[in-house]
Amino acid sequence: MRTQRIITILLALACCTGFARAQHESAWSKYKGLLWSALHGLDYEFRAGVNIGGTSPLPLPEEIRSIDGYNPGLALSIEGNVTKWLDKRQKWGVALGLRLETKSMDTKATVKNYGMEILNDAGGRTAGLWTGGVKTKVKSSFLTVPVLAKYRVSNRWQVSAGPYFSYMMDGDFSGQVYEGHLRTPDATGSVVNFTGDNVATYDFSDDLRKFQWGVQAGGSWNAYKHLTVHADLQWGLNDIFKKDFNTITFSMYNIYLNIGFGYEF
Amino acid sequence: MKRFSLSLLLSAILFASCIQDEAPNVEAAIDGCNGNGIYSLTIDNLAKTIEVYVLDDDKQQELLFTLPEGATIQAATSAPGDNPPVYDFSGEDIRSFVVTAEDGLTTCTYRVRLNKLILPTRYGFETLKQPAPYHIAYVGGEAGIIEWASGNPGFQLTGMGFTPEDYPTVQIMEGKQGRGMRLQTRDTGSFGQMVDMPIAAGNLFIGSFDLANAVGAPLESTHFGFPFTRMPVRMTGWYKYRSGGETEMLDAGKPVVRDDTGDIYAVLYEAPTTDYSLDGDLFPIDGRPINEHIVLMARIPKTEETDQWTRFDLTFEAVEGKTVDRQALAEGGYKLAIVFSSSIQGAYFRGAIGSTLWIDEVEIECE
Repeated sequence: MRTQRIITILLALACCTGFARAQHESAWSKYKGLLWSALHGLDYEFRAGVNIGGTSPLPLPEEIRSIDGYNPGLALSIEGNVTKWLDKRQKWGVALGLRLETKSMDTKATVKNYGMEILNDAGGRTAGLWTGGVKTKVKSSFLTVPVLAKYRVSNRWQVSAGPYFSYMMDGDFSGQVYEGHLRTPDATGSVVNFTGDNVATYDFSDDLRKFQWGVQAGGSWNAYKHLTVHADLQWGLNDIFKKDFNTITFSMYNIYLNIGFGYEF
Repeated sequence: MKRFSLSLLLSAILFASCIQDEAPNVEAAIDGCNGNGIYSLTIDNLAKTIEVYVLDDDKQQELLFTLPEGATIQAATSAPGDNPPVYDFSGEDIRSFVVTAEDGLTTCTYRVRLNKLILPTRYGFETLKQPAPYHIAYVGGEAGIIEWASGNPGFQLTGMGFTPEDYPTVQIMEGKQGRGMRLQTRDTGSFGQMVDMPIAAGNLFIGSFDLANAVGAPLESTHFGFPFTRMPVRMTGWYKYRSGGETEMLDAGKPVVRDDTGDIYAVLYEAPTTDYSLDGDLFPIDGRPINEHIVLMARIPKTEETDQWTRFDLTFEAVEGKTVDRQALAEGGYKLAIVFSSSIQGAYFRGAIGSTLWIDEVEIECE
C-alpha cells in the first residue's frame, strides 16, 4: 500500500515538473523563459536526498538509561522548490517547496520504568512499566511544505531557515521489549520477568499524529553550474503522537538531517 | 562533505550526552517472601494480601521479603515482639506492611496473615475469594483460607480475558451440587503466539501461581501442594469432560497426534525443605521419569468424554520403591498436591482449544 501510494505521488510529481519544464520550454521562445523568471527573481530547483536522524524525546527522559544500537535505515526525500528573490542583488529571498520524504530509524535502548502497553489482536491490552531492553522501529512518509527565508552568502553559498509543515501519509512506530521485567498494571503491580527468547511486541502506528511541523535550517552550495549540494537540519516541534496518547509518557520529536544534491534550473 | 560528517558526529555526541541521571525506582510491591518455617505462601498482588502458612504455634515469624530494587518495607505499626526480619503475630494474625519505593513517593500496603491451617479434605467450590477480573475459589472458613490456585493471573497478561468467563478457570452455577468449576483450554491470542504459549489450559490446584515466572519459566510458575499430615487413601469426585479434538502431544519425547484429554490427580510428595513444592514439570513428557519426590499417586487413567456428571474414585498408590515415613508425615515432611487440568499436557502448552473439564464435590479420604 505504502509503496503504491509513494509511486503514485512520485508519478504525479514527475508529471508536474515535466509539465512545468514543458511550459518553460514553450515559454522560452515566447517570454524568453528562464530569463523572464530570472528577471522576476524566480529560481527553480529539484532536490534529492536522504534523511538521517532520529525520532526522540527531548531531552532524553530519565526512563532511557542507555542507547545500545542505532541504524538510520534508508530514508529518501525528493523535493521541488521555487525561490523568489526579493531584492535586485538577489541576496534575500523566500522559498516554497514540496517535499516527499521518509523519516526512519531503528534503535535499541535500555530503559527503566518505561510506560507501555502490550496490545493483542483481539483488542485486549496489558499495561505496565517496563525495565529492560526496547527495540524501536520508526518509519514514516510525509508530504512536507517548507517555507523558508533564503540568504545568498556568496555566489556559491546560500543559507536558508524557516518552518515546515508535514502531512504524514503513512507511519510505523513499533518494536519489541526483551530481557527485563514488566511491572503490571502499575508501579505497585505484579512483576513479570522476560528472559532469553521472551519478547513482547508493541505497535503504536495508529497513534501517530498526521500533521507535524517544525523548523529547518541549512545551506546549499553550488558545486557546478546547475548542481547543488545541501544539508538541512529539520527539527520537529510537535509531538509525533496524538494528544490523547499517554502510553509513552514523554513527547517524541522528529529530528533529522537532510543531505543531498539538487538541480537548479 | 566534511561539514556533514562533522555535524553527524556532533549530533551523535549530543544524543549520547543527553542521558540523564538515573531516577530512583518507582516500583513498590512485594515480589516474594520466604522465611523459617513457612510451608506455603500465596501473594495476591491485586488484593495486596499475603497468606503465610506454617505448621507450628510459634507467633514469632521470620519474613524475608523480595522487593523491587531500592524499595524498603516496614510494619505499619510495630509490635512489641518485632525484631525485623522476625515479626510478632501474637497480638494479631494479620499485620500490615508498607512498601516504599526507592523514590519515596510510591507506597503500597500489604496485609500479611499468618495461618496455621490444616488442609481441609472436602471441596465443593462454592465460594469465591475474588469474582473479578477472574475467579479465585478457596477452601477454608473463618480460621483462614487456602486459595485454589490457577493460571488465570497468567492468562490476564494475554489481554484475552474481557470478562471473568473468558478466563480458563471459572466457577459455574450448575455443579454436581451447588456450584462447581469449569476448566477450559483457551486461545491466548497474539500475545500467546508472541511468547510461544499458544494455548492456556484451564487448571486448578492447591498451591500458588507465581506470575513472575509465567512468561520466562512457565513450568516453574505453578507451585503444587500444601503440607499434609494424614495418610491419604482415595480421591473421589465428579467430573464432565469434552475434548477440543486432536492436538500434537509428546509421548516420551516423540510427537504424536491424539485427541486431547484432561487430567485429574493427587500426589503426596516428600518436601526436603519446608518451602519445597512440586512445579509444572512433575510428569515430564520428554521421557524423563516423574519427579523423584512423589511417594503416593492417585491419577485418573483417562477423562472420558461425557456430558453427564461422572464419578471418579482414585486410589493413592505408592510409587515403585517409595514408602511413606509415618513419623515424618505427622511432622510435616510431606505435601499433598491436588491438580485438575483441561489438557493433560497443558503445562507444556499442548492441548486443543475448547477442551473442557468440569469438576465438583472432590474429597480426599484419609486413614
